[in-house]
Amino acid sequence: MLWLALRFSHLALELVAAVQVPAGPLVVRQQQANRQQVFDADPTARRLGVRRGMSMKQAQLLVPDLAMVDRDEVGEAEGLERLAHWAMQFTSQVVIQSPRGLLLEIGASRRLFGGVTALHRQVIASCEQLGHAPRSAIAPNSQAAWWLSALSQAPVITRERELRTALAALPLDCLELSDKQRQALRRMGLQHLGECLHLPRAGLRRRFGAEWLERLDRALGHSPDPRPCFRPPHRFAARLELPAEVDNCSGLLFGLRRLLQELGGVLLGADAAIDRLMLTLEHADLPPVDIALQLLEPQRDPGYLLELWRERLEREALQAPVLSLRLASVEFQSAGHANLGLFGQPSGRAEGQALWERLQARLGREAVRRPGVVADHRPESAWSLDDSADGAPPGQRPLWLLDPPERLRQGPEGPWRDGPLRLEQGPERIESGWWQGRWVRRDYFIATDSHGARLWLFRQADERDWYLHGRFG
Amino acid sequence: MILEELLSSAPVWRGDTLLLGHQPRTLPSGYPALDGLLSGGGWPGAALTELLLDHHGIGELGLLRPLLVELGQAGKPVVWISPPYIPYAPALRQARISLESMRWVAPDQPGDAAWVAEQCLRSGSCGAVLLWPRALNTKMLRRLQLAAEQGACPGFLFRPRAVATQSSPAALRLLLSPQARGLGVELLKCRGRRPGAGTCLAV
Repeated sequence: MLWLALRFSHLALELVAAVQVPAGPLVVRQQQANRQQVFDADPTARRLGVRRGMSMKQAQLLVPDLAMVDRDEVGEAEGLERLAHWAMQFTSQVVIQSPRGLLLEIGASRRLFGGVTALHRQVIASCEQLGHAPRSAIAPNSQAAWWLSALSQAPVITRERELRTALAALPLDCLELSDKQRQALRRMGLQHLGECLHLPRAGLRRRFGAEWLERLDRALGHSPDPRPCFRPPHRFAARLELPAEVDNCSGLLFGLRRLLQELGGVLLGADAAIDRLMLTLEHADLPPVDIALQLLEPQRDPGYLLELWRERLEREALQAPVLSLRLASVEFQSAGHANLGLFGQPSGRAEGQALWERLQARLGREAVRRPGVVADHRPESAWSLDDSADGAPPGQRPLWLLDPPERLRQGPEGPWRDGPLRLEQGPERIESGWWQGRWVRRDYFIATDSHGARLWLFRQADERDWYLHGRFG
Repeated sequence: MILEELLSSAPVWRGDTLLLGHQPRTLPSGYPALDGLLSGGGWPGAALTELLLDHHGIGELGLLRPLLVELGQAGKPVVWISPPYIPYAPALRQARISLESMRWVAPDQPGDAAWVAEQCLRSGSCGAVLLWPRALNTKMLRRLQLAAEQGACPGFLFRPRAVATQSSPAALRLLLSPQARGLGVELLKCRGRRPGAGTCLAV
């Protein structure tokens, strides 16, 4: 087993920054025992001397134009869970290390991603795309990886025998110790974990409790470290506050891209795909607007889905500026895996599928049709868009049908349309539909008009009026 | 003798051999008389073809029928974009044009037809694209021609004869007129051929 630990030290701040771009230095504040204190500060604020745990008054003295946001613990937990979803694309074993960490078992998937180094780099790059900059570490067990991830140099320990040396160098601040315990150790003159390891176990147990000693054993690999894995639900729902009110399509797509990337990670992790997505636009005053996207085949590629949404959203007139987006899926479907050709030639069918989806996304589902034959004697009922029967009518039929038929003028010697129509073939009697109350009794003729076009005419039996019903293309 | 030598030497470039090396693919029209007229012996396989006619029903679909039958048998989708009337399925079946591979796209908004055509031509997954445009400017025509080249897909535009005087980037332009014995076809523009040649086809 090999574990990659991600420590999102500035999770609260990063979640805020994803929503709004602050004008100046920004801190997240927290109410702690009757006083407001700094929970996290962004790099600008840190450069100006603001530190975690400082009182807000002090921070404001240092930086008068400090922007402040209240800490949202529920939001952080949700954010971490979304990250766990996202991490499922790299491994099937993800552990949430509350409140700000993720542990990924990468031993099983390292080869798929081209080795530990490549995988590590890919995870961090993907994090950065989502706006997170975690500290990370790789170690043979999850406890050691988590402790090592507190260091800024992203240590990578792949062998058990290097583990003890790496852990021995850890400063005491990195080990989940209470302030009191840390004080006690410091008073004993201890700075690093390595020095603790030389102390007698009985004494350590008495001073720091059995639980911490157990953790130490796990980190050293002396005892197993089972942890409950994150189990993703098989549907997706996420909400994104837009940085500012958005009244155009490109702004919406910018926000949507982020949601789709998360969705893509979740789908990849669950080895699933979706064929229906629902986007909800939330306005300030108006009720939210739902926009559905229906696909012909389940998909999961975020780039492809974004293209489809672009076509879909360009058609949508925004009633009011949008404040936030919600993206929800129906139950995931298992991804169908198609075999590629030996030499990677793309299959034309898949490309065609993508084309129809793009057309339908922009024009609506009904815009792309396929006509079919229906077994009915009445010409106007002999075709449909739903399904197709076998067979064809006996008589000659025109390639173009006019629906409804066009009523023709009566000329001196018969039907007239920009001149007299010359009847060439006919009549063909069509009589049907009396049981449906739409009784048709017509005599059909093939005629040529003065422009040379061949037309399909009919006359209701026992009536004099002529109608144009088709053109032979 | 001298003339022959001159003609066979490399620096002499003859108009009627134009593009034959460059045009990798033509599609037989199914009418030998027409194939004889067209450079490469058939419809341009990766370019626009304009069919100019004033009245629907004179045999313009009959002209394409052999090609459509062929493409349908190969299972390649043929897209009909904003046709003027309903493509009548029973008649298509009679004409052995495949209904399974046919797609009929009818966008609500007039501007979308050209967009659809461009997408279909460029995708490379269609056998042919048939477009009945309401209005097309030269810029859009050029885009369609480029898309047809990129996607290696033949595109057929049905336009009124009045646009014959306007220039067009289409590789082939044919004037269609009804005649007593069938459909009159006249070359208006054809790469590597002289305009004006014509024939009459029994479609």
